[in-house]
Amino acid sequence: MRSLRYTIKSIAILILGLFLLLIPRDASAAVPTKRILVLFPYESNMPGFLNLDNGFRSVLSASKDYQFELYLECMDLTRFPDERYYEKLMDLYHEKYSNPKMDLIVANLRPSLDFLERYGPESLRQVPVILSEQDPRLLGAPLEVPVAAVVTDVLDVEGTLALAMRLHPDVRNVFVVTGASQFDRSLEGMARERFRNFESRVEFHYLSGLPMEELIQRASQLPEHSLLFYMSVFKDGNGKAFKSPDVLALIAEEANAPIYSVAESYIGSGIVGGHVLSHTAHGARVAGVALRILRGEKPGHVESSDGSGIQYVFDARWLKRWGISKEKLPPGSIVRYREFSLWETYRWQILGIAAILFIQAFLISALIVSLRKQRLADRALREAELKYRTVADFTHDWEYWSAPDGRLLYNSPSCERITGYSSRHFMEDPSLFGRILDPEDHAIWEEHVRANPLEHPFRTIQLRIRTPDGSVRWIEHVCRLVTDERGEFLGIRASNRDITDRKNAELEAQQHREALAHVTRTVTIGELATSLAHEINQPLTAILCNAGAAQRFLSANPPDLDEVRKILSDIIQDDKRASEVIQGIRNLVKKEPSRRETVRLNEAVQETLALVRTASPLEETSLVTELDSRQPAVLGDRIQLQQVLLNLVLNAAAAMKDTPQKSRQLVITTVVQDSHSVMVSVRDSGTGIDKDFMDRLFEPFCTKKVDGLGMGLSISRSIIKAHGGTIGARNNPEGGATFYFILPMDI
Amino acid sequence: MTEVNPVVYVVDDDPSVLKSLERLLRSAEYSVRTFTSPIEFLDFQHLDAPSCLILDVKMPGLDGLELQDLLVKRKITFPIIFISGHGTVPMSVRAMKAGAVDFLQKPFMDGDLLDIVTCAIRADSKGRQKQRELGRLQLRIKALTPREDEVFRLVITGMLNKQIAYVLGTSEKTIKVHRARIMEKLGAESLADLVRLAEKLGIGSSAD
Repeated sequence: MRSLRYTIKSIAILILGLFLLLIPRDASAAVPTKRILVLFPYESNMPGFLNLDNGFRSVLSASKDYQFELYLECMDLTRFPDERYYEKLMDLYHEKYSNPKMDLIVANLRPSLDFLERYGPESLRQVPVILSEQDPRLLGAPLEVPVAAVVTDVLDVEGTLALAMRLHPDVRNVFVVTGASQFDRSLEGMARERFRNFESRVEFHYLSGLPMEELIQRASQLPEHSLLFYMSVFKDGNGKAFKSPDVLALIAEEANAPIYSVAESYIGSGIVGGHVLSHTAHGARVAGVALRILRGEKPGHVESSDGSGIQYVFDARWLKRWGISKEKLPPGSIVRYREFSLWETYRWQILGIAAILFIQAFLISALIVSLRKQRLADRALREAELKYRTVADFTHDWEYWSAPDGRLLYNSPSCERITGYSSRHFMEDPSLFGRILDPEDHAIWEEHVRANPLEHPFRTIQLRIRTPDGSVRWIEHVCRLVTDERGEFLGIRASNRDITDRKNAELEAQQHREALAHVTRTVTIGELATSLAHEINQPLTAILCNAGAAQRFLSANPPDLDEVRKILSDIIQDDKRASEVIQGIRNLVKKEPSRRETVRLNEAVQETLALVRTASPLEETSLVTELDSRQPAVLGDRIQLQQVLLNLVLNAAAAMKDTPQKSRQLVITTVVQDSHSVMVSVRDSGTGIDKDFMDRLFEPFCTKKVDGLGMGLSISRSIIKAHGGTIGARNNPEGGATFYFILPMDI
Repeated sequence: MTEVNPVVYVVDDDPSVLKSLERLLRSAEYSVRTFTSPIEFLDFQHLDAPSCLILDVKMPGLDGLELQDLLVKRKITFPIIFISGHGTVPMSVRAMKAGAVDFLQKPFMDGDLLDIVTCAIRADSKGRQKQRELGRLQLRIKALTPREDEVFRLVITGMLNKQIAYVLGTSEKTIKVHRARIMEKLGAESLADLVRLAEKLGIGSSAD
């Protein structure tokens, strides 16, 4: 058991040894270690000393030549001014620093060196010493023991006072504050000596060695035009020890005059500022001398200041308190404790944060906007789809969209209402449409499919379809090409409207109209019965009278045969006339369903003229046609319309009976008036229309012609009326008359 | 027939009817004057002969009935025979009331017309005679003194001399003298004669 533990221990040691061997030999192994003892006579927390220590260490640690071990002893000599304490302290140092030996001692301030000289153990006496002092004037009595070097800086009492007097030109009294300690008194002595040169300009008052309460009270009741010059207070008049910066802070709080001082360590404790010594810089200089000494140099007895350790430093808060403008400060002044505004202090942070916030906000809002856009677009898309789907699905008409290959891309459910077949039927079998068409309308459909869609972008046809129950429905089919923005053919979009009811109503109305026209004509005839009787009675009367006369002439002796012959001729004429009346009436009351066909008026005119051109009434008449090149067409009865034309032409010819041959002119015109109607006119160069006749021109039996009956225009009028048109006449300004009729066009 | 050959005037706007009527009347040996419009007829200076007027009712411008009214106003008293292709009852009533002889519906038989014409001519001839007689009677009436005229108007009412004298405030005797003078001047032989005469002249009825 015991041997096992031993073995483990051995192995552990071995491994540790190997491990250590493996560690690379670092730099510390190469540079020699130097041990330095730093002595300070007062307590360790004095700000001036802390700064000095910082400056000292920072230079040493930057050195590559040595590794340093620093030993710091703050001896606190003023608080324990006891011989026995000193001796015990030295015994302790002897114990501490005999082995290993120190390479260098830095004695800060003269009391340190004095202590070392008086009580220093043998072990330390052999070690080179550097004396560090703030001002040469504080070195005091000549050194009894040689030191390796003396490093001093400057407490610029004069410069600081001069500065204060510049900043406060009206100052009369300078109150110099010092404490009761040995160090305090040394500073007081220095001040008294230095200020002698200023005594002609200001009055000096020394608040030296006063009890703290009195000191503060004095400071708070200074006369006008005063300033305080603070040296140091480590002990008050009551023998109480203080930290000098603390005393300064107490005074500054109560003082009614600005305070100046010479050490940088007082900046921040209540002084306005001064040409102050930087203990950090001083510490660095001491370290530089120490390095030189360690390297074996002999820097000389006194290493005095080059002035680099003093500078103008101010406390912004106290500058402000005493209303001192920064412009008055000497060039190169450092102002501490500036109350930077938040902006000055954190400008870059603020800018950075603001930038980040801005970018973030921007990104977030951009994201929100894009998200919202996306959402809106999505919603709009959904709504649009729903909207169009709703529109399409709820249409009353049967809507479909067929692809170029004949497939149906969309077919509205309303097809079932119209055709009796569901949308599914059409979607699955696009040829169903062709099969439900009425056989009679196949030709129309095929022509429609063949027609060039570019010429007729919107094509409308009417078709009959058969529903599954065998009934016939009329649909109005309208379609157009669907193309995308590049003109790519995407199929045909069609709409089929159920017009069965309309068609039935149309047919009914047509029958009704025809019946009505018949009634109207019959009624007209009834109303005109008396004048009709008159018209027939006239020739009958003449015939009877003539016949009676003939009888008498024949029974005379000798019979007047010549007279009888004339009578017979007249009888024939009168008889003819009577039969014409009867014929006209028959035409008027004839009830034939009028044909409805497309009549191209230009052709109708040409055909009519071909009939009469050679007829005698038109001989020697110049016939001119002015026919509209748009080929106007109307829906109606061709024969009836030609009858009207013939009547107007013959009337015109009759009207020109007495016109000299060369000025007989007949002009027949067709003119499309607007998109809905066409006018046909017959212009003659005859005698024109009597004013008396104008009003009843189209009434039956109104005639000027000896052999005329006055039925032609009346019949013409009823024909034109039946075609939904109007007929009229007017005299031409240049002579003659124009008869015209206007008919709705067949579009 | 009597002194002058009778004349038949015909007004009709239909030339063939006019021509046939002219022939028919000529064959019956009337002298015929034809006019195609009433205006033309009004412009014509009428002959002093027994005559009648055959007038078509419906004509452009002035029609037959209006012409009749005009003639009545001008106190030209032809017998008028209306002929009409489409005569209506009110039309014929109006014509007859205004003194038309007859109202013939076209077409009519030639004999019917000629008979009516003959009657009309005779009536006109008689009328002319009566007119002349009346003219003579009126001359006689004018020969009466105002007092005689006064007495005459009372005599024909059937009053006795005594009554007349009382009315006029005179003696029965004076009335008797007046009465005798009246009988003499008027060529009457009895009271009945006097009454008839007064009737012819249209006196008496107007006194009521």
